Amino acid sequence: MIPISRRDLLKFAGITAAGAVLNSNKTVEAAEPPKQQNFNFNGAQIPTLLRADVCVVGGGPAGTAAAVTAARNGASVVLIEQGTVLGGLQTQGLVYPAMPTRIFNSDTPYIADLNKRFAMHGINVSFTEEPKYANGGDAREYTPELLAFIYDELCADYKVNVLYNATLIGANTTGGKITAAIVHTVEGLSKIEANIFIDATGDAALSRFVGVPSVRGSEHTGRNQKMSFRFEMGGVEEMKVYKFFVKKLKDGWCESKPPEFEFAKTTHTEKFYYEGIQRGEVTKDDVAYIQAFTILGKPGTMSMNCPEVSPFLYSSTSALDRSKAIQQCRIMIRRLANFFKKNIPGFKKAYISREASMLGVRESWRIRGKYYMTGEDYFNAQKFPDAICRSAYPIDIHDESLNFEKPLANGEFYEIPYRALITNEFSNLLVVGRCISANFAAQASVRIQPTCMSMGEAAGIAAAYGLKNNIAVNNIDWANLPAEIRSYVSAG
Amino acid sequence: MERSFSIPISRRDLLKLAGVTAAGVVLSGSTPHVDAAEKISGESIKYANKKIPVVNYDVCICGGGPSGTAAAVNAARNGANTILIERGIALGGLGVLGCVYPFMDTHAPDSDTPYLTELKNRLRAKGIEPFDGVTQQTWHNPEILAEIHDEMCEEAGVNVFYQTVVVDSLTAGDKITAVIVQTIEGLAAVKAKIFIDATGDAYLARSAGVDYERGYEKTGNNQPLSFRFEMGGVDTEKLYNYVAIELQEDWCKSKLPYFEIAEAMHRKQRYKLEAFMARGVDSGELTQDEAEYMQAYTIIGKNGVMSMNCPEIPVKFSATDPVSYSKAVTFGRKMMRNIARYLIKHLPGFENAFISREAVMLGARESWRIKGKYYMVEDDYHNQSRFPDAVCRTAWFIDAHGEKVSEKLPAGGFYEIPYRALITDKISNLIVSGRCISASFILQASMRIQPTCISIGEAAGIAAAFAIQNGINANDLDWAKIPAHKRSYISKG
Repeated sequence: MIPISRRDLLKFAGITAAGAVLNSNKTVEAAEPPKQQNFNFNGAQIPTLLRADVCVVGGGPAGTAAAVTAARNGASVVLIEQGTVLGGLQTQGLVYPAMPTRIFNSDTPYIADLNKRFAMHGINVSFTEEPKYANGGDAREYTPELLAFIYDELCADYKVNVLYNATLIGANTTGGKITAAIVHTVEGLSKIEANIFIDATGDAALSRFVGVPSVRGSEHTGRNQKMSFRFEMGGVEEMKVYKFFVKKLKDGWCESKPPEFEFAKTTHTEKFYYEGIQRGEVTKDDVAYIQAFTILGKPGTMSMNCPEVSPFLYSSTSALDRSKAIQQCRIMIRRLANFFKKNIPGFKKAYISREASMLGVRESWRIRGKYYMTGEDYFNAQKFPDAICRSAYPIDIHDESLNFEKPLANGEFYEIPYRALITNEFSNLLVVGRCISANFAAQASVRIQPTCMSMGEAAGIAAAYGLKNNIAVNNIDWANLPAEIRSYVSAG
Repeated sequence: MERSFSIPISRRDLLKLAGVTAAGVVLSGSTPHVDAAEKISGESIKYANKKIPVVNYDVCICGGGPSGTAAAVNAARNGANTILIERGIALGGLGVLGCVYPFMDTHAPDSDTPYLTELKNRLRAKGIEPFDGVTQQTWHNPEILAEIHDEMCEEAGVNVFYQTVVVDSLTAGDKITAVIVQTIEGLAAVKAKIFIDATGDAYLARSAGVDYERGYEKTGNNQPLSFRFEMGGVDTEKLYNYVAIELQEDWCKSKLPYFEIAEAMHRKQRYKLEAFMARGVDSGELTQDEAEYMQAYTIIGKNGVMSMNCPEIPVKFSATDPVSYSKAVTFGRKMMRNIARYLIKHLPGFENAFISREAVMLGARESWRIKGKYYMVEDDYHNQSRFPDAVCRTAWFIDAHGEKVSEKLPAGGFYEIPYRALITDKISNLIVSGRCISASFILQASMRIQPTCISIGEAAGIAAAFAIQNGINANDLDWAKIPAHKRSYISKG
C-alpha cells in the first residue's frame, strides 16, 4: 500500500519531514534556523518539500539507475522527474531499442537485474548466452510502457521516493557544496535538501546552474549532435513489410524476421526514398535518416527512429531551437507516415499511434570534470583502475562530415573512469548519463542507454559509500572501494 | 555565503526568442563552444539575485492545453503579438498529452463557438469525422489534434515556446509585470501587457496573489485523478458483438467505428459490464478501486486502438499536493496494468490487446480555482443562468466523481458562463481560462469539459486583444460591449 499523506510518506521513506505546504501560512519547520534566502516566491521563503541523503535530478536511464542503486545501498533517496514516467528517452523519447555496447561482460548487475525483470514479463532482453550475437550483445528491446512499470516497481522495491511532475529550476550552494535543489511543482517552488546530488538531467542542468564548467557541441564545428523526434505507428502488417524490403528490394540490412524486424535507409533502399523525393511526397531532410523497428510486446507497431533535424538549423542547446524543432519534426512525421502508408505494403492501414513526449537529444551540454574523456580513449581502448563500465559502441555522430569510420576491432573495448563523473568544484556532486565529462567524439560513444545505466549504477554505489564512510564523492577513488560492492572492476 | 543559481539564457537566443532574427539561422557557426557567462546586453531584470533576460509581448498565455491554445490563436488572430508557453512538447494538454478522449458533450444546443467549429472542420479535412451521428461528443484523434494545433498557431503567428515551465511572476501594483520561466538554458522573464492563466492549476494567478480555492468545501478533497492510456490490438468488432449484441448493453448509442463500453459501480445508471468487472474482484484479479470505473472508446483514425477512461485513482490522492500527485502516478500505473491484464484475459475482443500508450500527464479534473469578479455556483446550473457578458453556454451535468452527480438539465436547457468569472479584482491585466476559472467545486464539475474550456479560451484571447487595442484593463472590460462581430459568443439573454 502506498502511503499518501506527506507525513506518512516521509516516515515511510525514512526522510525527515521538513517543509510546510507552500500556500499555507505556517513557517518552515526546518531543523536549522532560516538562512539568508536567495530565492523568493512572492516574497515568501521557499519551503523545504523533502530532505534525503541523496537527491537525483532526472529520472532517465542513468538517473533511475543511480536512485535505485543508492537506495539499495542504504541511502534515502529522492528522485526528481519532470514528467510522469521514469526512463527518459527510453520511455518518453521512444528511443527503442537500446543500442548495444558491442562487448561482452558489459552488463553491470543493475542491467542484469533489469533484464531479469523483463524476462518475468515474458520478454527476453538478455542476449549474452546466444552465440549469434558474437559481437557482444545486441540491442535491448525495452518495451517503453512495460519499462515504465518496471521502473516504478524497482523504485517501490527499494523505497526510492520519486517526485514526478517536478522541474529543476536552480540550486543553492555554500562552500563548494550544493545544499538544495530548487524545484517547481504544481504547488509552487520548493527545496529538496540532500547531502549528495546526482545530476542526471542529460543537459548537465544542475551542474550548469551551480557553475560547473560545461562544453557543448563539436570542437570543430560548434554544432551539437542532431536531434530526433521519434514516434510509433500502429496497424502495421510486419510480414508484408518484411517481404517488401527483404524479398522485393533485396535488402539484407536486417538479419532477423518478424516479430523482430527492422528496416532502414540503406544502399539497397536509397532509391526507394529518392523516388519519394522525386514525387514530392517527402523532402530530402525527411529521409536523411530512416530506421524503423518492430516492438516486442506491441504487435503491429513499429518504432520509428526518425525524423532527424539538421544540426545546422536546430541546436539542442538553444531553448528556441528545441521548440522550433518540435514543430518542424511534427510536420516531417506526418509526411513520413503518409509516405510509408502509400508506398510500403503492410503500412496501408497504419497510423501514428503515439508521438514521443520528449525530443531525442543525443548531445547537448557536457561537464568538464576531473577527467575529460576524448576520442583517443576510444581509439586506444583505454583502461582505467577506477573504471565503472566498458563499451565498444562506435563513435556515432549523426553528421556525415564528422563521422569516424573506424570502430574498435572485435573484442576490444574502452572503459569510463569514475573521475569523469565528478568535478573539482563541488564535493557532493556526481554527474551521470550523456552529460559526463567527455569531448564531442568520446560522448558520441558513451551516450547509449546501457552505458548511461551503468554510470548511474556506479554513482549510486559511490554516493552511498561516500555517505557511510564520510568521504566527499569527488574524493572517492573508485578503485579503493571493496571489489564486492563495485558494480564494475577493471581488469586493467 | 549561499550563491544563487540561475544561468541566463544567451543573448543570441533571446534575440531569436524576441523574433529579432529569423528562426533557423545558423547559430553556433564557429563560435567557441565553451560556455562562458554571457553578458546580457539587452533588457534584463533581477530575479533571485541574478540578472535574467527579458522578452516582450502583447499577450502571454501560460499553458498550452485546449483553453490556452484557443486563447493564443484568437489573441494572435486579433492582432496581438502573442507567446504561448507550454511545458510539454505538444499543444492540447489533457486532450493530447492526457489522452482525454473524446471531448465530452455540452448537451447544450448550438454551443459550438467559431473556433470549435473550425477545429472540427480541420479534423474532418484530415479524415477524422468528429460527429458520431448521435451524440455531441467530439471524437477526435490526439495525434492529429497536436498537428492541427501546431498548424493553427503557425498560421496565426503565435510564438509557441515548448519545454518551458512557468515558475513565478512579478507584480507591481495591480499588474503582473512579468512571468518567470525556466527553459533548458535557464531562467528568463516574459513581459506582456496581458497575461492569460491557462495552467489549469491557476498557477499564475496564485503566484500573483489572487485568492483561490481547492477541492470540495465539505470534504477538502479534489476531484479524483485519472491516469488514462490507450490499448492497441483490440478486435473492436468482436468487442461490439459481445457487449452490444450478446450482453445487450445499450449504453452506447452510436455504432462502430464510434463505439464505447462503460461501467461505473455505485451510480444510478446500471451497466452490463459491472458484473464482468465484479467477477474480477471476486477472483482477486482486480481491486475494488480498479473495478469501480471502467470506460473505453474507439479512436477514430487509430484502428484497433481504444482510449481507456480509467483507472480512476482513489480520491485520497490529491491533485494539489505534489508528493501525493507523484504517488498517484505510481499507484495509477499499477491499476492500469491490472485493468489491462484483466481485459486481455477475459473480455472478448481484447485477447491480443496491449498497452500502446500511457498519458504523459495525469487527468486532473479539478485542482485550484480562482475567486474572481463573479463566482459561479451550483444555482447557476439549476437556474440556467444567463449573463449579458456570457462567453459560452453548456449543460454538461454536474459530474463530481465520488461526490455528486446531478440530473441533466431538461432538453434544450443550458447555463452561461460570464466573462467576469475569468477576471479578478486584484490583478488588472490577468485573464484566467480553462478549468480553474472562478467557480465553486460543484459548478466547476460541470464547466470543466474540453469544449467549454476551449470556448472560454477563445473568448479570453479575443478579450485580451480587444483590451490592448482599446486601452482597457482586462478586468475592467465588459464583454457585452465588445462589438458583436468580434465576439465568439453573444448571449440571447
